[in-house]
Amino acid sequence: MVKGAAGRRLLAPGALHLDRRIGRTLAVYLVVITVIVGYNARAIADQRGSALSVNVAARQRALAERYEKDVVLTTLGIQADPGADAEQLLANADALLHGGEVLAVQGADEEIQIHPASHDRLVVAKLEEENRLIQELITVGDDLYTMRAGQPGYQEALRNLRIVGAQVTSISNDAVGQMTRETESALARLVAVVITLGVLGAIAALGMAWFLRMTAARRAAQFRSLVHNASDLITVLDATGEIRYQSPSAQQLVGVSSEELIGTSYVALLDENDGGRLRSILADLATSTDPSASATAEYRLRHQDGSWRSVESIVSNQTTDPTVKGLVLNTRDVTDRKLLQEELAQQAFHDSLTGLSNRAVFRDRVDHALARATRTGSRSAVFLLDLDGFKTVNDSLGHDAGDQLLIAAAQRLQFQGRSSDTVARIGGDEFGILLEDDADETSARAMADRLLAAFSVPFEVRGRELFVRATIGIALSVAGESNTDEMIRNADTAMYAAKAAGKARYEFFRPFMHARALERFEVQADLEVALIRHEFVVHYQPIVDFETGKALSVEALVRWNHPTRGLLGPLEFIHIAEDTGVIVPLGLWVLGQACRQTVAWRSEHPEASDLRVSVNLSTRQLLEPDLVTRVRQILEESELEPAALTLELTEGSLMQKIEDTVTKLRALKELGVRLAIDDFGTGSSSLGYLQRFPIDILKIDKSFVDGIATLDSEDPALVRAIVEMAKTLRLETVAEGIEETEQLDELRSAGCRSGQGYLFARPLHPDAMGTFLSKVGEEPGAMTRSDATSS
Amino acid sequence: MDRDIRKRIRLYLAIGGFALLAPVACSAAPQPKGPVVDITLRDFHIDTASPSVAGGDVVLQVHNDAPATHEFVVVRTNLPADGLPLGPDGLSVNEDWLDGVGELNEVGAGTVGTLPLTLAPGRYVFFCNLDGHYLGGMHAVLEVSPHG
Repeated sequence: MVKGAAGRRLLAPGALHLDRRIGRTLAVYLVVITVIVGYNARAIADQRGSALSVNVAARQRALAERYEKDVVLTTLGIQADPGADAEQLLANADALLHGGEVLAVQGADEEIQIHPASHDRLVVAKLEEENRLIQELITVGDDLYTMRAGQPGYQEALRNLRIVGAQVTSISNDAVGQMTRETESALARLVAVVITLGVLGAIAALGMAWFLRMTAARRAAQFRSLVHNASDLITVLDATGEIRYQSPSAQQLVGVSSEELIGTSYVALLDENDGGRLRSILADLATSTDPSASATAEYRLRHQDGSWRSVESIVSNQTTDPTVKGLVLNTRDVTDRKLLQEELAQQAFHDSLTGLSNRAVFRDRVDHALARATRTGSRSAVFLLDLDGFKTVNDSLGHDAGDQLLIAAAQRLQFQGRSSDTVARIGGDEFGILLEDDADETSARAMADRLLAAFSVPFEVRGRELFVRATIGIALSVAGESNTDEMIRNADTAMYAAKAAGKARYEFFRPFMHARALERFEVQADLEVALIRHEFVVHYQPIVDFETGKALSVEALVRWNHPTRGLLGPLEFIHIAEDTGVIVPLGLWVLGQACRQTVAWRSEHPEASDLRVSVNLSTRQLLEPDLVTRVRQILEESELEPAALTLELTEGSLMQKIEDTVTKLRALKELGVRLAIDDFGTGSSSLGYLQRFPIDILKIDKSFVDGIATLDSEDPALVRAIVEMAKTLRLETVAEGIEETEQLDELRSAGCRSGQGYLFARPLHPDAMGTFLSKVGEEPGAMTRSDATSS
Repeated sequence: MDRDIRKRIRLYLAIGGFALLAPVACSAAPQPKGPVVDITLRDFHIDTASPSVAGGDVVLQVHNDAPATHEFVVVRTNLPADGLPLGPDGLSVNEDWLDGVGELNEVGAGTVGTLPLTLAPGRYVFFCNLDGHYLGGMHAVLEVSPHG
């Protein structure tokens, strides 16, 4: 828990800079002091040498007088040794000029070494003159020495000796005086220099002291400023955990001033249930013997306003540091970092739009539920819920509206679930719900009913009421046998079955659904190659003029001649072709076939020379960007006049990408192609689009025709209204699914002129259709109605 | 307080200014007048540039070219230069018996001493009266003629 701390110098770079400056200043100071001491030592040594020289020089006068006296004594017959005096005079004179050994004291044996008395030109000149006069004195003395008192010339020689002796005395005094003056001036200079250097030294010492004091003050101020302005909290605790120092940032972090905090317990700021690690670290460090021990802890601090701040502290033991003597906490506010971490976690596990769990979390929960189910034998249920008509909302009202719908749907789902249930957005408009703990068919059914009921109330999106229902697939786990993938796949299969059964309902997964789904998968796989293998055929159903019974037009209807399952009607594969996109090449193939066949019939049957053909255009085809080009190419290749071709569209397909659709339909109209609305009245009919789209024909849906001959039905009125409206809009009407003569009569009386249905002919193989075309003018009822399949 | 300090500063400035100007004032003293007679002292004789000079103001410029320090004494006398009366020690001239005109007590080696005198016509003897110096030969004669 507690580890050795690495360097804790808060001010390392600045301190280094200051240390260098102090070092430089100290070096200069030491040099100045060394120069002063060195100069003084040398000057003192010089003074001592000078004093010796002066002493020797001063002795010369006395020595010269003694020599003079000794010479005179000798001439008087008294024993004396002027030679020794002369020798010493000469030796001293030489030593004063050039340095050398002289007697320490007159008459003693001890000798001392002296340096040249002076380098001063004047002193040297005087000493040289003295030296010359001493030699002259000795010469004169030598002359007298050989004489005896009273002898002729004696007085003259004696006088000369006295004169030269006086001259030696004079020059000696002069030299000593000069040397003394020189020594005094040297001493005065020395004193001046010493005083100057002393003053300089004192100034340097004062400067140094001032500099050190300023440096220390600046460093202290710098440190204080750093601590005061640091956003980090710096706290010093004593061994009992009491705050001894607190940096001012406490005001910001906990809303209490540092002064108020001093003397209080630091752990009192902590959350009672939190900060266990900090408490143990403080306890460990307080008793630690390692002076550099430190540790890190994350915990929460309570702000005065009641909020909590997440912080991270580095605690170091500085009890042995005499300037600190405590535990130092360096505390940083990590609240923002924590929030970001939580947000990232939220993003990783939640759907950002609805706030529900995402697919990954849902799978994880299912995993855990199944694992628990294996241990306890309890069952769980997976619901997959898909919004019916969500795509329409998204396409017609925009993605923002779609998003709002999803959010509202998510809220309703959450409201229905128990707290133990997991509600997740699996993707798009698909939601997943996991029921845990003893789920069975009864409880799952109750839940599904609640969910469906929740969607029976309209949603309000952008001020509009939207009726959006949900289709639910449910998979129940089988103890010890289910796995997550299987559960979700089964729920998906059940949901698909529920959609196929009519939407806005729920289905439990049953094993047969799996077989059906598998079958669908096979159909899908076969469809991919059916076109290449020429397994599709086009059948035609005539559209008959009620007056003449003549086939005005034929509707092309595709059939799949499946190699193993026989002839399949469009209901069995068209929606799969639509889902997989095979519808696009298939639709073009049918169009090409139909155009060529019509051209063939027109030329084969003169009575059908103005025969037209209707071909269904699927939603997917309408969305293809090159639709118009392809239609034109087919018309050109087949040489069918464009006016003979009618393209049939459903109301639903017109509602996709309306602007784009209008543009394409106008382009088709410009080619000369006619446009019809198929199954009119069954979709989200709006009279508005009848004007907006360049439509030529309305095909009245079979459901209206079915009820037209029933007495208490509203359908006759509806059909009349449709026909009247079509007339107003100058549209043709074609009735679909006419099976009975009564229906034909009603349609006729309603004003409808043409129609199709088993009453006239079922969809026919091209050969049979050729035969039909040759029976012009026959009664409609003559057509066979066997082998009935719906168109 | 401030006024005191200003007063003191003025006082110091005044003293400083005086100290700086004083030597200038001294050097502004009048230059000695009259013809210059250059005299050179050596160990142990005296050379005079010209043996005579017109009476009146005369400036004796005494150059000590000797290594020793010398004295320069001027007396008016008709005695021979090497025949001046000696003192009791027999090593220097007895100046009390002579008509002293002027003297330079000490002319340091290598320096020049200036002795301005107003000399009446007559005979003057210069000598160094340090012990043994006069007897060693340090004496000379200057004849001063009447004006013009």
